[in-house]
Amino acid sequence: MAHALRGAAVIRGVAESQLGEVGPDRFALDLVGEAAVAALADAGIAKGEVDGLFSAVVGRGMANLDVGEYLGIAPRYTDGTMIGGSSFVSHAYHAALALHSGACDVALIVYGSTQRTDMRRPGRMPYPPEVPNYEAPARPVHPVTGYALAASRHMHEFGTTREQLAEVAVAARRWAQLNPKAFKRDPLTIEDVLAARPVATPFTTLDCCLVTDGGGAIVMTRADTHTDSPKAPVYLLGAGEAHSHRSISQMPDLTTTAARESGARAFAMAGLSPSDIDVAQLYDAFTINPILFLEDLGFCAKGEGGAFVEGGRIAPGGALPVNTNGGGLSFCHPGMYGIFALIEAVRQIRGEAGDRQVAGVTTALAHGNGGQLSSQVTAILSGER
Amino acid sequence: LVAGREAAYHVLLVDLDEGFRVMASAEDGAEDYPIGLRVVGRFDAPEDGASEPRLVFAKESD
Repeated sequence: MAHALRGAAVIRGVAESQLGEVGPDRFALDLVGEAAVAALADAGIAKGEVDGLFSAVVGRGMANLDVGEYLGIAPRYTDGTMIGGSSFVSHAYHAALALHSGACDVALIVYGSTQRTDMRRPGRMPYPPEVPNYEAPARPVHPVTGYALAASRHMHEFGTTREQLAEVAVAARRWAQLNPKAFKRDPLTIEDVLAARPVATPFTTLDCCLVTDGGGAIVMTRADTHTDSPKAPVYLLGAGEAHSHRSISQMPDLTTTAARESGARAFAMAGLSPSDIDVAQLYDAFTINPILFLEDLGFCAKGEGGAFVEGGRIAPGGALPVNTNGGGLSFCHPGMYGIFALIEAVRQIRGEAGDRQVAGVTTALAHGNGGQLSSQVTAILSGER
Repeated sequence: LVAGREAAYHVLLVDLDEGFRVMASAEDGAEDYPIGLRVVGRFDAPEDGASEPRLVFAKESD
């Protein structure tokens, strides 16, 4: 018997705000508003119908209150789950639960950040330190230090190479070259990645995600309402979430993430397996991330992720297209990326991805990651129920 | 090895014989800390501006 939530909720609208570097006159809430208005227009749903609000913003402890006030939305269901960059994939899961239960009828998931512009604002207030106090004396530079430690361990245990890590960045860049909205589109080689400025062993700057501005929004309803929306519905067939630790020193196994649990839960709900996935959007904060997630989500065996990405296998024309918008490494990364993984999955299913469109996409996987490989949330989307 | 503003420095995850893992610093000037190396820890006085002592590990003597 199928899971009750399978296909019960659909994504009706998606949109991004202006991306890249928006300039000093714009702030995070401006991008939230821009993305929300565009996503509602994409869905053909009026703002006044929104009664479920989902958001998270770095540095804003009461993001939903800020967002609701700014947008003029007083929701009857609100969810400010903040588990880092995976929050928005989690919001999609939670929205499906809320819609299915009747707690709301139209869910708006929205995010915005001017992280890049903020670095240049005079008198800016830095974000509060992310590091737990008991790790701070060792002077980790988070988040990169934590991911670098995990990558080092993966290289030690499985023989993963620097070149294999670099291949992830090169594949992302090749996708970005097909995406006019991508922040970085100039050619990139494995040699370029290896020769870039070292940041934390084994990473150079080109193993690390971008720092950009940007916002995104998603509108969800039940599958049996708003059927007159202009765009074809994208069904949430499966979702799962898990988190295993906060600080990297407490990660149970540095080479295995909680994506193993979130992915298994999502596939079980969907009644599908990795071989059913046409494209995968895997949160690539650092080059080690897609390698870990390909393993933990079941696309290859543990330890084989490095070999899996070799030879352009996740790049345009490869057997498994991954991060087809260019990902956090080359498309955009405004503090948190998860909402963009969902948006790109929807675009690929709708056939709206322009030059980067993968032929014949029916089912896509969007995977969010947060903290120090801490929170993992997987969603499986499809144009067919 | 973290590329610091003034000089690179090591950040270690150390599995203690006592049964848990900690993040710690490495003794200054050490060249390399390969995974699996046995190390010995000590507490150094707080650095300038810090309130907590630093847990520092060095390679275990033969």
